[in-house]
Amino acid sequence: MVKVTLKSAEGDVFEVDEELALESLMVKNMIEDVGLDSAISLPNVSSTILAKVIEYIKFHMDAQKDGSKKTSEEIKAFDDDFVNVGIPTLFEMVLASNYLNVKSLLSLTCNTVANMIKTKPPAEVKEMFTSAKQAKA
Amino acid sequence: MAGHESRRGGSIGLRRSSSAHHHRAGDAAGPHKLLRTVSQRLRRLISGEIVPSVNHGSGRLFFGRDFDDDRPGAARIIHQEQAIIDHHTGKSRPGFFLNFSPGERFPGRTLQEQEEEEAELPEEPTSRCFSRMRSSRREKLLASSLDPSGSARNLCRGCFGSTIPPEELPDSSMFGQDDGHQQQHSIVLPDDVLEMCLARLPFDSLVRARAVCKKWSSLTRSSHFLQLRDRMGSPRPWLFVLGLSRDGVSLGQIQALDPTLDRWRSIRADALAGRLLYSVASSGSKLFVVGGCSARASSDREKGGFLKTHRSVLVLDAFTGQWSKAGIGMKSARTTPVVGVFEMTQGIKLKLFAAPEKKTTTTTTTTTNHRRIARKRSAEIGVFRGSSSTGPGGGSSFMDQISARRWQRSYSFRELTTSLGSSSSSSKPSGSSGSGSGSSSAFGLIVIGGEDERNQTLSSGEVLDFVTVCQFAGSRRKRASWDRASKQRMGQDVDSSSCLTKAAVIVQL
Repeated sequence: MVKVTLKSAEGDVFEVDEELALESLMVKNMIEDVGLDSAISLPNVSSTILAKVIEYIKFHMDAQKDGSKKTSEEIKAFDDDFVNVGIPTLFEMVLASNYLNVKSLLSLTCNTVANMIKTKPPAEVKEMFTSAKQAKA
Repeated sequence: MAGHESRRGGSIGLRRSSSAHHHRAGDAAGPHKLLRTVSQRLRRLISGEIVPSVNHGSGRLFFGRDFDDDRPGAARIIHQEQAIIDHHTGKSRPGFFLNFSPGERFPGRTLQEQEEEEAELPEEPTSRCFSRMRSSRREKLLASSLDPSGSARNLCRGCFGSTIPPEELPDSSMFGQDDGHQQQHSIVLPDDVLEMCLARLPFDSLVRARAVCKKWSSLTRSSHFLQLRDRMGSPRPWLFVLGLSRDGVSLGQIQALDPTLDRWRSIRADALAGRLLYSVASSGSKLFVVGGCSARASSDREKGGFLKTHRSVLVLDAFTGQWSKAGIGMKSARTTPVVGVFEMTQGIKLKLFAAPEKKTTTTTTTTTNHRRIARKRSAEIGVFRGSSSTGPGGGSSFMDQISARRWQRSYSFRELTTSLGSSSSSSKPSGSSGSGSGSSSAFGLIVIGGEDERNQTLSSGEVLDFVTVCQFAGSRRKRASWDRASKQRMGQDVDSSSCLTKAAVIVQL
């Protein structure tokens, strides 16, 4: 199996299967452009987020394989758990999935944000976005 | 009540009569067939036999037929038939059949009378479909479920964009002073990502999200956002009820039912205040208010009558809450015209039909079933070139086309039927790329018939929204039953004396 080396913003190196890396259209384009020889640098994605993204892709790739016994409930549970994170992390995941162009994850995270907006009155939404800022600061 | 076979028969009869005059369309391009059919129906409309009620729904066109049984006086049996014409295949199939009791006329019946009559209606498999009721009946049922406390009303105020001017919204400083630019140590979702999140919101939540700050408000009103939202597939049908009045005065208000939340919302519609007898159609998130009349200043009474009949077509973009006027308005002023919106495939010229009400002569017309004296109306047709570049859900930009173009006045009804019907070669919508097989679509708005103040009886204008009702019901996988449409009550009482201009349309939000 061909491996692809991804380098996070902090400089941490992640070695993943090519198949997995290709789930990110952005990485796919990079590979097409520069080939597999050099590490693909992802300056917009932190190590923690990149690790989570890889975890997500890996889980879903496994779940889609023929031999997978995962039920849709299990997948749903994984997804729910996956996005059950703090708002700053969630936002970072939205940004990362947008940057990496991972459609399924982008859809999942955007939906999560949308659900947060949906269930809250404007004042709380405001607060939500404000606190995301403060928490990071 | 006639059975299924007779319905089919009626429909076939129509088509037969058409084939006598025209080439068989067969499986010809939908829009050709569609326009031809419209023109045929129009011709029959002239005879007074059929008054089509046209509506659009996912590429289909629905017609209502009114048969007058020639009884003397006011006795009148209206058989309402809906032919459903799928313009992709060009085939029509009969819809449901509706039988009103003799002597019934629109309007002028009290709700009490209707209620009694309603109670006597036999219970049948399809009788729960509220489309079977006349709009006034639906109104009554709506009215019967009104909530005097108006709890929904309170929520409503801020619920539609029009009620919150952007300048009253807080600034977007919380996203960074410089309008969304990233600050150090803050996670700011860039606009495109934010849009992706917001586009997933149902309309109800979206409106609340608009109240968060100016930036969100403007962001969520852009046409780009609308397209994005269409792609996400999140628009859902809302039921809009227009023509509300109280104490005989038309209210500048629209009630909208959000079926997902089962909650009524009020929308301010100052443009509609005092306006009566208009017709309504919808396409996408756009809602068209066609014609109608309103009371004039009393000094004008001696000149041209008490009511001013409108030529204008008002457009409410329910998505942004903006009212606008469509182009320069129709050539003729009309009240309660039959209007409809239908989908056209790409490159096909949109034909917009408008029948003026004033030029009336008496002539003899032969129709399939009746030989009768009927008023003949010369009608005029406005034509739009539907150079649509819109994607699916292209109703959003339909109004742009309307406002960009004018109602052309040089076509007469007769010319159109000739060109559409006499031969297949001349029936081509001119100047277009022929039958479109492209995925892009646009919507046409059809305005047919109508009355001015001198010519007031028009029974068919009342029967409407079979389509929207069905869509509405289908979306909830429920039987189309008006009284079950919502247990919630509208935020505004409906005046019983005002069943003239009730209208209910579905708006995708």
